Amino acid sequence: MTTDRNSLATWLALISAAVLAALALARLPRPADWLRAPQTPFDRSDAWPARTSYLLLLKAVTVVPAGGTVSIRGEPADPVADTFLFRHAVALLPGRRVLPAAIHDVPTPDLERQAEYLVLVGPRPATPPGRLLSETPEGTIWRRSR
Amino acid sequence: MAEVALRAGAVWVGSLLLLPIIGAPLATRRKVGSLPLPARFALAAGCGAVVLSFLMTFWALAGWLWNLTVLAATGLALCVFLRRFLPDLSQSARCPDGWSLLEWASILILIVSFAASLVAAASGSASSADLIFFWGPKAQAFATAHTIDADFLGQPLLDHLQVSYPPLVTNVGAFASLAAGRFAWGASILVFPLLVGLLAFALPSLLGLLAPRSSALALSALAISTAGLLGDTFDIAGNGDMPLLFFESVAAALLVGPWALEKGGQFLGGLMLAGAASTKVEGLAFTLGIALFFLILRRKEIRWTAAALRLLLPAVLCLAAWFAFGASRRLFVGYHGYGRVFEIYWKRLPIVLPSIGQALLSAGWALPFLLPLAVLLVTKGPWRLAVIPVGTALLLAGFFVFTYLHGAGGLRLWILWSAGRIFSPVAVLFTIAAAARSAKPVSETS
Repeated sequence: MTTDRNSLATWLALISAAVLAALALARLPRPADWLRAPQTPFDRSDAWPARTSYLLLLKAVTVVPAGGTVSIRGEPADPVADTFLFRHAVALLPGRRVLPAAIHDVPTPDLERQAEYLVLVGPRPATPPGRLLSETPEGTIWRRSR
Repeated sequence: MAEVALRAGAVWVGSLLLLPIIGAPLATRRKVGSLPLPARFALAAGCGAVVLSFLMTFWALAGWLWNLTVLAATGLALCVFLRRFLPDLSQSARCPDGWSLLEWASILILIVSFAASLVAAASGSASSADLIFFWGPKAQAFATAHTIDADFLGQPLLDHLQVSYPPLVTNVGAFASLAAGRFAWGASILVFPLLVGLLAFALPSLLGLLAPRSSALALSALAISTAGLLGDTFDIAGNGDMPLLFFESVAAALLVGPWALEKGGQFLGGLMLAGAASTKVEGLAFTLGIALFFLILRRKEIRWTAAALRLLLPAVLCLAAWFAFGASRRLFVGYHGYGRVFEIYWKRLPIVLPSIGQALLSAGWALPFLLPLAVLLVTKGPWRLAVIPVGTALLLAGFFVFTYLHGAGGLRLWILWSAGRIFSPVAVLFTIAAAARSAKPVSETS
């Protein structure tokens, strides 16, 4: 009896595994995209909003010299989004001193103003904050006028 | 630029091959060596990661700078030394014989589940936001500083780095970054499918020590498909959830099996528990819970004090080194909590429980949780050994609810974002419990 019952359990385990594997397959991108490397690690995950800043910061790391002070914010500024952008910049601009434009969803303009370089996610601002160093579809990178 | 990044990524992932080499002495004892090579490889990788992380933490505590070669050589030497605490186990692995259709189908599902997790990770579908928030930046900073960088962790503006989180994932990430010369963001998300693969290597053999081979394979396929689907759904690539699931699953499979009655099996289990405790905060709750259930339920079959030491001493040493580092650098003396321990907001229960339910339902209508539970209930056999993983699963669930009851603003969002992935081990523990219920009589296992 034990064998029969566990044979049923074994088959149920197998069928369950097949169902879950099928669900996993159904979640995958189209097969045509499988061999196309994503531009960023976050292209298709729930963290996809990080994609824009990731691409812009990859550019910034080639423009902002090591040891430089840099800040990042959205254009226009949004303290909630800017809090996340600060964290992204800490990750993707190693060797630079990253100053927040907002922290814990509270703007920190005094800190942002201390940065020599400014990365703006979004369209080019109406008033340039300094000398434009680089522009990508994701945003602009500036060196502040002193 | 792209070519440089690709090469760095390949070296980053390739350097992780040093982990099974470091841990190899612990997975080549005669009886452990009778396990199939893939299972030994997975066990060696787990042991290697634990030993390496411990050494890296100890090095940082002592104020010595990390050196890749010295760390790898010292890790290997330590594993050779620890080998003496791993006497031969009396339990032989089963001799291979013909494979049934059910077994072939289980193997196919194991392969498909691994492949699905690989595609999900490689296509950027399963990446964790926490990778860029704190796991990655910490590993990167530690590699740059050649130590656990206390100055970086102590910056007041960087209080999002989860400073007190245990160090294994960031240590291993820093180790790979030292090899690659940089932190490889794209490569780091491949750790998720790699660990799904390693778990697929280990579980069939470990569960096969107690359950009939067909059951062990089918239940392993269920555990791996569960881990793969939940990992993709809840975006755990690049964070600590898959390493934690790996250590917890292997530890649980060892502790319900016959090897857990012997010194060597207990010591291996202890190393895996140290891995869990060194990976995430809830790994400590798992470690204490499963050790407690094991020591109570198998007390008549073991020497209690010695078994407790073998199970818990590795975790105690790993965490002692970590907290000594935190205290000596004035960074932390314990885990960061969510409010005072006994300040529980019971009024939030009507928010917490439905939110957890909603989070679990979002993964394939909660099937990854319900199907393993159904298999566990349908399986016929004694509950005694199954209480070890089931009791631990319930204890973990209680711990998570307890933690959520301390949460403040944005509670619902926090739960929806985190509950699915932190509850994932509960589902895998149900499948291991099913294997424990279908255990062969002792006469068939010896």
